[in-house]
Amino acid sequence: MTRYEQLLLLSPELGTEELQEILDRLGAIVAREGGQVLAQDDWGMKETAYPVRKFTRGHYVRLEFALPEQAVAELERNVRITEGILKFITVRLAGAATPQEA
Amino acid sequence: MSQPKKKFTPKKKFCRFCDNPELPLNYKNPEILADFITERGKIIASRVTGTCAKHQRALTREIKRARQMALLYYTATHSTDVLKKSKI
Repeated sequence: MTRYEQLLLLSPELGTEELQEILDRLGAIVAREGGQVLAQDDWGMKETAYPVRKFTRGHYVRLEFALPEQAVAELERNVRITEGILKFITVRLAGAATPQEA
Repeated sequence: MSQPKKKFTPKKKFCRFCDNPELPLNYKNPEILADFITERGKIIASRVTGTCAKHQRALTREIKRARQMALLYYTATHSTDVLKKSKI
């Protein structure tokens, strides 16, 4: 298990419910792959530094999770095929973390 | 007219990240990273800013991450006309 964080840039056209649905789905994938979501923080709607798919704004959400190394590719595959996610970045966080696990 | 010649001594440069270890150096704080790029988007050399080698490497990495996520710009040009057209 390694700690990762993922920053998502979501389309500004998404409604609150659609947004929540995407996040829930990603959370479910993390759980399915044997991981655990540790934090989720919503940066809200922000101006992007340059237009992304013709949008000049986007919704940023940061996820933090523990996930086995080999499951990251599967999560990223799912992120790529999800509509409404314009950009994402996955960053490995320092420190080996296996919280709340026997 | 016979004033003693004053030698120009530039302000001593220092690494801002060594000076203040609390200063977050990561792609999530584009405001800080923005101090280290030119208005055209180029990363400023450590020779100019005084950043130490260790932090300059991290800085470069984080600036590139921030660019990827559209938190910082790659260049100042090219985007202006698209910016005007899009509404959302």
